[in-house]
Amino acid sequence: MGNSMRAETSGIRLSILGVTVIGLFAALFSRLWFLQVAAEPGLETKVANTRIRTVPLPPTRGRILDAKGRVLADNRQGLSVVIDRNGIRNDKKRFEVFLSLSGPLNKTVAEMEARYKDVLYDPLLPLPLADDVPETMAIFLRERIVGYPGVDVVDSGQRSYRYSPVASAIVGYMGKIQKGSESTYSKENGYAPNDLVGIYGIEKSFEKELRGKPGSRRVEIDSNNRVVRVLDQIDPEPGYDVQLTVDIKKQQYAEQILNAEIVKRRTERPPGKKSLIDGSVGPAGPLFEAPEGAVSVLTTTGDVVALASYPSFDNRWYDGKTDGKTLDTLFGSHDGIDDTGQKIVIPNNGAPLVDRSISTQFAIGSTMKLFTSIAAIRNGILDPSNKFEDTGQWTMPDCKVGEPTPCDLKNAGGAVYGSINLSDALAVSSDQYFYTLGASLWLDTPVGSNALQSELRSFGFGSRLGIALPGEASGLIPDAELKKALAKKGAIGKFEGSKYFTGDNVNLAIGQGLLGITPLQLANGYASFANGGTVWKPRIVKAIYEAGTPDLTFGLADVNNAKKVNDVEPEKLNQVILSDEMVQPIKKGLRGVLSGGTFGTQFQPSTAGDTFKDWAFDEFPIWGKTGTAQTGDATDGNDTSLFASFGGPKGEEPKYAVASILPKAGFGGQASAPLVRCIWTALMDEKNIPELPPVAPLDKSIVTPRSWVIPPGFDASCLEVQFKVGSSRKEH
Amino acid sequence: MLLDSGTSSSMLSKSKSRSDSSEPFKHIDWVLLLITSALAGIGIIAGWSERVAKGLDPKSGINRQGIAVAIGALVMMAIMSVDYRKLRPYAIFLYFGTASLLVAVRLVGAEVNGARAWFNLGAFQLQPSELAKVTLVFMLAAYCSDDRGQKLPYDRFIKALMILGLPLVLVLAQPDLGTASTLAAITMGVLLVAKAPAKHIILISVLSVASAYVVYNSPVLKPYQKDRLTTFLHPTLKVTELKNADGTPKLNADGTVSKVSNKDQIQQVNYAKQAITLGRATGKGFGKGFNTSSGDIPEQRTDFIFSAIAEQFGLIGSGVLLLLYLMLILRCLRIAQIAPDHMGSLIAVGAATLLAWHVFENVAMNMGMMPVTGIPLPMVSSGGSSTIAFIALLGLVQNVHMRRYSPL
Repeated sequence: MGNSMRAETSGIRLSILGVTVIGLFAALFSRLWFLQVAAEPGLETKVANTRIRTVPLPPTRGRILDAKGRVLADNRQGLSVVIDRNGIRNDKKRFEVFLSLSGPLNKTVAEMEARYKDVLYDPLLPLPLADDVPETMAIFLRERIVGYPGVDVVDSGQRSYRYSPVASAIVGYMGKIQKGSESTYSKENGYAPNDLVGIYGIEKSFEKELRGKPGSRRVEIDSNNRVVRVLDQIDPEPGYDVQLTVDIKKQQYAEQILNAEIVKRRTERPPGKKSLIDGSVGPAGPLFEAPEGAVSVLTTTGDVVALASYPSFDNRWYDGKTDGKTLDTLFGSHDGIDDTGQKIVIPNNGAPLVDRSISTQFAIGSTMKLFTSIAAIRNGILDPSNKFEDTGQWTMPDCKVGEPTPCDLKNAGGAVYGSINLSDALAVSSDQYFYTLGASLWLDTPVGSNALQSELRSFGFGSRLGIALPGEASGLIPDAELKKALAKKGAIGKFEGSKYFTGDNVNLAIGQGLLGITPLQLANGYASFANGGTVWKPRIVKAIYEAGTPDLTFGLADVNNAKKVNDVEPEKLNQVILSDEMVQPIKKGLRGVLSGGTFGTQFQPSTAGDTFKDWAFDEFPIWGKTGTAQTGDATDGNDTSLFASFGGPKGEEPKYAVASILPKAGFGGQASAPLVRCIWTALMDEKNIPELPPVAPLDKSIVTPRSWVIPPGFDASCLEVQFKVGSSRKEH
Repeated sequence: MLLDSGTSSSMLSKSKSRSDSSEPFKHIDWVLLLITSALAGIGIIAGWSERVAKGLDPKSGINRQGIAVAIGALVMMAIMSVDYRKLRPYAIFLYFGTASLLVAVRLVGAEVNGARAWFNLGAFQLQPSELAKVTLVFMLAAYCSDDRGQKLPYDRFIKALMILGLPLVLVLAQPDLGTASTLAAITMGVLLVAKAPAKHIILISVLSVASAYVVYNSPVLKPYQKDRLTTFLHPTLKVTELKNADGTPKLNADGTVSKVSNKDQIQQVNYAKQAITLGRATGKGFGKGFNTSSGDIPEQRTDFIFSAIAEQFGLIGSGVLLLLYLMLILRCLRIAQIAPDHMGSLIAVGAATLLAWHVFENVAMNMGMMPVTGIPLPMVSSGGSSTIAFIALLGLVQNVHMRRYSPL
C-alpha cells in the first residue's frame, strides 16, 4: 500500500511537474511562432535600418589650371596619418599606441587623445592624427607600418596651391561653411556641415564645378560603431578641372614687379616745387607712402592675363586652421588689439584680402581723357583737327562764385601749351582742353547733359563687368542723381553741395571728383577702344574639363587631350560705335604720350616719353595715357599714379590692354608708367621675363610678418628710368 | 518494512524476468544518450557557424567546445560506471567541497564584468557555480529520498531548505542571481516530488514571493540591479551614478563619476529579438545572418546562442531545438517514474527541473520575456564548465536508468 501510495503521490507530483514543463515550453513555442511567423510585416526593414549608416564619401575636387595647363590648385600633396578606430577603443591600448606615435608624429599623447574625443571627426571613419605631414614622415611610417598597427598614411584631399603666394587672390581658398551660406551648402546640395567650401576667388565662384558629386557608402555597424561590412557604395564623382585665362608666369611677374615698384617708390620723394619767381627748386616732399596698388592685364578680347593687387596674401595660410592673430601677424589682415588693449593699425599692410584690381574703385585722372574725347566727338562738340589755343588759364562758363569748383582753373603745374589739336592735347595732357570739353558736354550737347556719363556707361563703367571672381565693385559715375544721393547720406563734404554743377562735369572730364573705376574696368575700357568698340565681359575661366586630364609633366596638365565639358565663351556686354574720326586722332595722341617729342606751339614734351623712349614701336606698337588723380589735400605725395595702355605685336589688331593704379605714389608718368612698361616688355616676349625665383614651400611653423621687400633674385632693373622732362611734369 | 522488502524482491524478480543480466551497461537509455549527443553536437555547430559568419578561424571555437564535450563524455562515463546508490554517502563531501570552492572563488577567482565567479585554469575557466547545480541535485536527492514512501517531515523540509541556503548565499554574493534562481528551482522541484506536504510547498512559495518582494524593495539591491531585473518589462534606458558607502559619488580612476546603465541589456535583448524575427520560418542559413556576425549581441556564443540559431535556422531549427529539450526533460521525468529507488527518482527530477529552468529562462530571455541573467542554454551555449556539468548530470540520470534492474 505504501509502495502504491508512494508511486501514486510521486506520479501525481511528477505529472504536475511535467505539465508545468509542457506549459512553459508551450509559452516559448507560441512566442517563437509570434516572432518568426506572425510578427508584423515591416519589422524586418525597420530593424535593418537601425543598424545601417551612410558614410559620405567626399568627391575629389577639381583642379585649377592656368592658360597653359599649369596646375595652380591640386589635391595631391595632402598626406594625413590616420588610425583605425577599432584598434584604439581600449583606453590602455590607445595610450600605448599614441605614445608610440608621439615621437614620429611630433604630437603629444594629449593632442591625439583630444582628437579621439573630438566629435567633429566622424566615428565611422579612421581618425586623422596628423594632417599635412611631410613626405619623409609618410615614408617613415609606411616603412614601419607593421610596428604601428592600424596606422595608415592617406591622401586627405588637402588643397595644394603650387604657385602660391602667386595668384592667391585669383585662385582663392577654401574654408568652413560660413554663416549665412548654409542654405547654399545644404544637405540637399550634397554638403555636410563640416565640409570645406570655396570662400574666396575661383574656389568660391566655381565651387559648383570644382566640387563634384559626393558619394556614399552604406555600412552595417555594430553597437560600438564598428563597421561590420560594406553594403553598397555610390562612388563620388570628381569635380571638373577649371582652366583660367591667366598665365601664371605673367601673373607672377605682374605681382612681383608691382611689389617691386611700390617698394621702390617708398624710397622716393616728390620733387620740390619750382618757384615761379626765381626758378629755384624747393625742398622735396616726404617719402611716398605707396600703400597699395593694382595692375590688370587683359587681352583686347576681354581675357584676363594677370590681375595683381598689393598688398597681397598667401592663400596657403587661409586653410581654416590658422587663427586670426596669426593671420594678423603674417599679413596684417585687419587692425587688431595689442596686448595692452590698445587698438593697433598695421601700417601699409591693410586689408590684403581686398583684391584692388577688381574690388577697389579709384578716380582715374587723365586716363579719362580717352573717353572724354570720344564723347565730345560723338556729340559734335569737338572737331579733332581743330586747333585750340591753350593759354594755361581757363574760366568756367556759367560759373558762380561760391560753387565747389573754382571758376578760374589752370593746367596742372601751371603749364601753357599754345595751339594744340586733340592729339597734342592727349600727348601733353592739357587740362584746359578737356575742361572745355567737360563743360560743353554738360551744357551744350543735343542729347542732354549726361552725354559724358552715357559714354562712360557704354564702356562698362559704373556697373559690374561680371568677372567670375567674388567681390567685384561696380564703380561710380558722378551725375546729378548720384551726387544728391551721396549728399543726402552725408558721404560728401557740405561744401560740395548737393547739386551737380558744371564744375563737377569739368572735373569728371579729367577723371577727378567722385568718379570711381576699378583697375579691371580701366583696362577693359582701353581694350574696348583698342578692339574697335566691343566691350567684353572680362573672362577669367576659359574652359571646364572633366576630371582625369593627364599630365604632360608633373604639374602641367595636357589640356589638348582633356575632355572638355564646355568652353566658357567670351560674352559681349556692349558694342560702342567708334568712327575713324575718333580713333585716328586719339591713337595719334596716345602714341604721342609714349613716343615722346614735343607738342603744340609751346613745344611741351609728352607725359611718358622718357619712360618709353627706346621702345620699338615698329615692332610692337603700343598706345597709352598717363593719369594723376588728386586725392585728399592735393599735395604731390597724395597723387594717385595711373597708366592705361593697349598694344600688341605689329601687323595685328592690338592684343593686350594694361592698366596700373598706384595711390599715393606720384605722377602717372613716374610710378605707373615704368611699371606698365615692364609689363609690356614681358608681354612682347616671355623671354623678357627675368628668371623668377622659385616659389618657396610654406613652412607653417614660422610665423613672421610678411616683408614687402623685392624678392631676392628678382630682377627689377626694367623699372629704372631716367626721368628728364615729360614724366616729371605734373598733369592730371 | 515488509512492504519495502517486498518491493525489492519484486524488482529483483522483474530484473530476472526481463534480462538475463543485471549488467547496467545493457540498460543504457539510448533515447537520452541520443538527445544528449544531439544537443552537444548542436552546441559545437552553433559556435562554429558564429565564427564562420564573423570571418574568424572556426577551429579554435570548435576545439574549445569540442574539448568540453569530450571531457563531459569522459566524466559521464566515469559517473555511469559507479552505481549512484553507492555514491550516496559521499554526497555530503561533494556538497561541502563545492561550497568551499564557491568560497574560494570569492577570494581568489578571476573577476569578469564585476563578478568573481571563475577560476582561471590556464586554457579553461572553471565556474564552480555550474558544479554547484549538479551537486545540489545530488545532495537534495540523497537527503530527501525516503523509500518508505512517507511524506517529508517538517524538520527535514527545513533542513532541505538549509541545504539550499548555503550555496544560495554564496552565489548571491558573487552576485549571480541567475544561478541562485536555478538553485531555488531545483529545490522546489525536488521537494515537490519528495512529497513535501503541499501546505509546506505553498507556504514556502508564498514566503519566497514575499521575501523577493521585500528584498526588491529593500536597500540590499542597488537601484541599477533592480533596473536590470525589470528592464525586460520596460526597456528604457536608465543611467545610475554609483555611490560609495558614505553616499559620495563613486569616482573612476580619471575622476569622472562612475556610472552604470542598462543600455547593454536593452541592446542585447533588442538585437536578440531582431535576430530571431529575421530568421523567419526557415532561417537565413548556416553562417549567415547579420546579427550572428555583427558582434552586436554581447555574450552571443554563450547566453544568446539561441537567437543566433533562430536567425540562421528559423522557426524550424529553433523549434526542433526546443523539441529536443522538451523530449530530454520529459525523458528525465519518465526516468524519475521508473527509477529503482526514491533517490534515483529525485536525481532525475532535479535534473529535469534544472534543465527546464535553464531552457525556459534562457530562451525566454532571448525573446525578451524574462530578465537577462547569465543562464546558459544547456550544452548548446559555449562554455566549458556548464557543458561538462550538464553532460555529467545527464550521466547521473543515465546512471539511474541503467541501474533499474541492478541490485545494490
